Amino acid sequence: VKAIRVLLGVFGVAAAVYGVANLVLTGPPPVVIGRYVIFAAVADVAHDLLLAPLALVAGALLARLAPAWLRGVLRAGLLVSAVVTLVAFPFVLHRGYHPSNPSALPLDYARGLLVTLAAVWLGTAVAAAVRYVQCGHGHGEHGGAGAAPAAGLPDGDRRDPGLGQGP
Amino acid sequence: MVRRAGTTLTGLLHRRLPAPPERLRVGPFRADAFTSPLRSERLTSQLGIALGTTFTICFVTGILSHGIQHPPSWFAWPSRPADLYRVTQGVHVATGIVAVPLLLAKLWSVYPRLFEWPPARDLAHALSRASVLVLVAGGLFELTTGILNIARWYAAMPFFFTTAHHWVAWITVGALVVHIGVKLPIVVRALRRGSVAVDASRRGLLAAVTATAGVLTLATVGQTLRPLTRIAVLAPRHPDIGPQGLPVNRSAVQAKVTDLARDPAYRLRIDGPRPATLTRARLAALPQHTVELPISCVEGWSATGHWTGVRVRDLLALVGAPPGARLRAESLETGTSYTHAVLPASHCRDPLTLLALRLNGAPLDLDHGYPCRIIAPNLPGVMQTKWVGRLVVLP
Repeated sequence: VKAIRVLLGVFGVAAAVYGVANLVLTGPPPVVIGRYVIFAAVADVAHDLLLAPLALVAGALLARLAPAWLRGVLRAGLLVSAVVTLVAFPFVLHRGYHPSNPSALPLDYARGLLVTLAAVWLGTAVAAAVRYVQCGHGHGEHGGAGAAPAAGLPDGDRRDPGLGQGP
Repeated sequence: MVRRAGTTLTGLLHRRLPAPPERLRVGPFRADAFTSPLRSERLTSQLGIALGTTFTICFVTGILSHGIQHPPSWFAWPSRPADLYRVTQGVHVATGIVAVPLLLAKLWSVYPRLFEWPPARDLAHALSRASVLVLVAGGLFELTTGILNIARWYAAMPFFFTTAHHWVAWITVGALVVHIGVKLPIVVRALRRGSVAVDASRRGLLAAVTATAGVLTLATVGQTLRPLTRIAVLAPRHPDIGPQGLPVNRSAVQAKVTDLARDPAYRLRIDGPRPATLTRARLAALPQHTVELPISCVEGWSATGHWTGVRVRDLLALVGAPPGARLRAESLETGTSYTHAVLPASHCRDPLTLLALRLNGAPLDLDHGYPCRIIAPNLPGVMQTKWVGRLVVLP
């Protein structure tokens, strides 16, 4: 295992050095490479200090407001909705559209997003109904609905003392 | 001597760094800041394996696509199967989209580590964290630029997408391989240990992430997978929408070739051992062949058309090109890096490779490359030069 790890380290560093070296030697001028770094840093900070905290807040609210039996299903619905909205966002804005080329980005993406979200929440409602029947009120952690239980992105089972602490 | 140097290095790497004062340990840095019982080594390992798999698929298909467009001397890309590139590039884009929820869930699962205390225990720890920073920033960079590119929102990227996406992929995958090496024992341990108390919740989270990937795929993959086109409400392309029922990547207006392409004085020049100059009527008088071939875009969409025109190998014979010759097709378009492409010898020989004059039974639309364009099996659309003005035989 140790040998494999060392090999992985060597290959990884080699690939990264290959990328950096080619970028510096054959790539665009340093100013442009600087823009790569800024773009990556902005993406990283936007995730770490905006997107992730928002998800944690949503999860904490959910833990406080939603009944336990509904929580997992609701989290799953919110997770799907949030990520789909994020990915669809550049399409909804339609900034890449050029009037001379109507076949590129030809659809109404705001409508597409709404249709997708409607389907997601229909699915979420069905899953919630199944949970309700399976568990009744207030006993959220029982039963074994394969796709539904206690799913979701965010933090915040603070009020479930039985489940122990996270890392 | 060597041993002493080794000891010194290890010592240097593991010498404790001074910890910051404890009173700075506030907010997310507190030990009890993150409480979700969902987070576990097992969950992170499983998400990591899935994410690593998607990144590997994207890297391999991406490097392949790059190699086809800029072939090194040792690389040869066959002309068959005709639909291969449509599959590899469709997989590249679809897998990149699937990687978005995986990456976000993976980052959530290790989010508390961002606020580790102390921020750096020793130099080894600091290096390890730096490599994770490269991996995270690189992963976010690749997925963000990839999606902006298929959304054609080039203005949001203050650089040329292709170069950036390619070289940052090398750096990111390098950091990924290092990361796998660093974390391998943890992954092995977590997967061997088996399930823990909150397993139902963990499975629920994995199911939700899978559902997200599924919804994203269903809403987009119809841009290349025909049976799913009807439900592809977020697809950047619709294989049936476009002039003559086929999408266009770059219009004649965008390429600024409208006047040149319509000019009655248009002549195709073929440079070879016996150079030739042909009018479009003359081209249409040569033996015509009809083939069914897809346009397979680097952006991950593809659509099949019925193309009619002159076989490229007939044109090569006409100008007395030697066997094994390659062909550079030059567009009437000027001023961008996509104005010409070299067809490999295998594609020049292939009877499916045409200089097409017609599409789906009618003369080529201006946006599809009128007066004539290259159409070849198993090549990215970007290499199937439109508005061809000159063909140059290369030995």
